[in-house]
Amino acid sequence: MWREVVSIAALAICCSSALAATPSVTISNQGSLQFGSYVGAGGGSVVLAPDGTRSVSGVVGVGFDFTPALFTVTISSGSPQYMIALPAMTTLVAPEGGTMTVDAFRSLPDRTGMAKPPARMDQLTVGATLHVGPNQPPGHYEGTFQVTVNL
Amino acid sequence: MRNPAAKRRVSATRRIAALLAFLFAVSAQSAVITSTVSAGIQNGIGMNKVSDLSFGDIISPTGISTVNVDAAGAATPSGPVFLLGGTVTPATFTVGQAGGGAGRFWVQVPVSVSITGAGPAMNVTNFDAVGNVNMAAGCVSTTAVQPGGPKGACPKADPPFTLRIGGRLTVGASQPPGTYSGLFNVTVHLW
Repeated sequence: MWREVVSIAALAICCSSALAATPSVTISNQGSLQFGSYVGAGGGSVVLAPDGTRSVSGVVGVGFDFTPALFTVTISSGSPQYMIALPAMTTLVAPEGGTMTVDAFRSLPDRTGMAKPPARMDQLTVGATLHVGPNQPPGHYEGTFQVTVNL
Repeated sequence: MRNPAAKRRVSATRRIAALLAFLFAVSAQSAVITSTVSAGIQNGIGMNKVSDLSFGDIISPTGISTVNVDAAGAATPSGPVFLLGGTVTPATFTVGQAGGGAGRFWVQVPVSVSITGAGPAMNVTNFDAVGNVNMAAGCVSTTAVQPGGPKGACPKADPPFTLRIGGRLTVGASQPPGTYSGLFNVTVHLW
């Protein structure tokens, strides 16, 4: 009987401490990835780097309304380091029916980041490469992508 | 006194607790979010700036001097001035058109802009596009009035063409050292 009480007490200590000390990570989205507008002509590609710089080949930009996606990562306790997983590609669709591919997602910080105390928060930006086909139909193209962070 | 039944219960409780702790740990150590990605494609005329007009590094001259950077990127000094190299580039743009237009373009540049820095402002004048492929002097104007042409010597923008603009910097006698910069507009007009 005594052994049983000790064991259960030990179990309670183990679990309450495990629950309290388990670090958790959260991510929130403050801005979407916007490539901006282009005159398609013969097609080409747009590389939007996570630092916000853009390089365009083939197509021609109209205006400067391009911006990488912005996220905030928060880690509750423990090690500040987190790993970033990005998709391989996604497809953008226009209401009129055309599609474009977005791939080569890149983040800043790259692959791993640090949400250091005291704030335990970090900002993460994501860019990618847009592929515009020859004679791409005009329209507003939209799609989604997922960002995963792991401790 | 040993009680085998109680011991088994404890072991089972431990296993469940260990499993619960594991589940909590896994669920808290990863987070996923979905974001939107968007792009617009439109018909009409578009223009990208690829590089700025840059005269490079210049030694302050003893007398008033000029530095000309042509549309091909060659720098030519005039007067008692020495060029040290550095970044020497014409302003470079890409101009494109889509959506059925196959017209020709002419280019409007300013007469003069001033660039400012550590000392008195300096002027950049003589903006021109000479040295571009498929673009004659008759395709460039310093006003909103269409230049003389001929139209056939001016470029189409489908597929996009590269436009290079040079200019001439006037450097004052004993111009104070420093970085000088300013802005100028280039407008492309459909002929």
